[in-house]
Amino acid sequence: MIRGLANRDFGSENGRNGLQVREEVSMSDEWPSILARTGLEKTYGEFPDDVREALASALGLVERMKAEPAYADEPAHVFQAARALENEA
Amino acid sequence: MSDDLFYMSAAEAGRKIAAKELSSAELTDTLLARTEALDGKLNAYIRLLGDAARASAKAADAAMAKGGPKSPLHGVPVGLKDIIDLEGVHTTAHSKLLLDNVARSDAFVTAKLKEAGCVITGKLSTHEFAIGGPAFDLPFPPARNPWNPAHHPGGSSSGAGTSVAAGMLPAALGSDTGGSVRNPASCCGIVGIKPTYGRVSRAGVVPLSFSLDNVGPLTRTVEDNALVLAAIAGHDPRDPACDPRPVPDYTATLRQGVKGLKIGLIRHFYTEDLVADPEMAEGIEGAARLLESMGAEVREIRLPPLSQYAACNRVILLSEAYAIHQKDLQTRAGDYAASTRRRILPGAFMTGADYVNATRMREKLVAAFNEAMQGLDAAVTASSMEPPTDMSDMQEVERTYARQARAPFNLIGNPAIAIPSGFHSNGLPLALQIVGRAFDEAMCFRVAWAVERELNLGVRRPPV
Repeated sequence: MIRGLANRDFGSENGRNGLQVREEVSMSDEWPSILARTGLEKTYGEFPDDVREALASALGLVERMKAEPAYADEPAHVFQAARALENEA
Repeated sequence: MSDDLFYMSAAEAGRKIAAKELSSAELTDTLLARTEALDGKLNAYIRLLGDAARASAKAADAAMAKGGPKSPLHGVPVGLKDIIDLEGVHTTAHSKLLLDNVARSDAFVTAKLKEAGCVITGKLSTHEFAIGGPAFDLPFPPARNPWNPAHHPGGSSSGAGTSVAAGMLPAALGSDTGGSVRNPASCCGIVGIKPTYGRVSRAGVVPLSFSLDNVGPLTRTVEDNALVLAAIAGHDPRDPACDPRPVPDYTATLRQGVKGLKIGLIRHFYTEDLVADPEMAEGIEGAARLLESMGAEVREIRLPPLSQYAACNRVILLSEAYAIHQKDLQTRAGDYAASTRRRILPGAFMTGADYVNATRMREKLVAAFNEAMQGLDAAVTASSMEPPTDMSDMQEVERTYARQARAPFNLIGNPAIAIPSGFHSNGLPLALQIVGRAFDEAMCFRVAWAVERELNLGVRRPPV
């Protein structure tokens, strides 16, 4: 999550992803670099509200997930080196 | 006879075709004529393949005469959500982006339906890329609810729900990543199952989220659902997640009843985490009492909050969906419906760590469910929190769309079936959900069949 943009000065109410979230996010010095990093400059030029709301929504989703894994907690999909060979067999 | 054919179950149609009391050609012709009469209002189909379906029905009748039925569904018409490939036919995913996309081969599930002798009637409306929501800025109009065409039919397998509920088809295939088979089933008063992840191949189906996508049938009866799932399930090496274990005969245990079963009730999903419409909640509570009256032991169980399951599902879903759509959302975002664009774009702001942590969280939420299910055969909970809303009020559609308890079972991978539980005072269907252990779809069908038989809601037809 691009946490540096949280708690700034424009609001977005977004319930599109299952959550009623109000995040304060702003246009800041970081915003152009965020857009460049995500490759969304053109999309932001056409649909600025959609991109801003997407960031607020993403922030809210990650927050709501409350994931606090321990160091050794494994992810749901674990790479299996032999699987491709098994499928071929 | 025509009226009987509109709402004849797939099982009965298959039996009559096998007994030569009905031809596939007659059934297919009748349902195509009904579709042509109704679909200008309901928009269930993106592409109706009338000539091909008639030819396929005649071929099914000829094959039947020569060698008998290939399956209990021989000669039965089935529609495909338009993210499922049918060789030589466009798969558009209801999107401007895929208007020229012609499938080079059948999806695994399409091929399985053909092997079973089914007649493919066409491609059904969906929400764009199975995520967008009902939208009016797409090349095709959104499907509408046969119980009240002003209301949405749920989605994203919206055309599947509409066509089956309206008596245009006895069965259709949809897909379910966060509830997209069970939502239209719930909204349209029919039956829809999300099988265990890996039970049905995803090969040849436009992906939304690799680790959450499932293909599942929508039908008017539980028995039909069991028959269609049996027809499309099975191992497919083209899908790396597809499980090799054999497919059971789901109808073998269908009528065993619920006496002696232990069933969990996940009440906090619809009374605390989200508060359901009182009539929706009463439908679920009534079904729980019904199960008790039939001899099941029902006891309340608790899981982590619904919001945690929903958020974890969404972080994974959007990360995977954005990976698929990244290039197009960077370069031609205006070609998506506004609702699709807005739903997928948050994935751009998830980091690798967010995604991995969501999959680590997923393991914990799976463990929590399995622990709560210790000693239980199945669990009952809500599907939607309220009946479908009026499509002219898109804010209300958006507000209510996420108020559901389906996404947890995509996350944990277990089978979950949505069935009707009654009707709201506004005339729209009510629904509940039955969840089983992994790969125990048979138990979902068994419990669902018992409720279906007692409630006997299938006699009520939408006013189309």
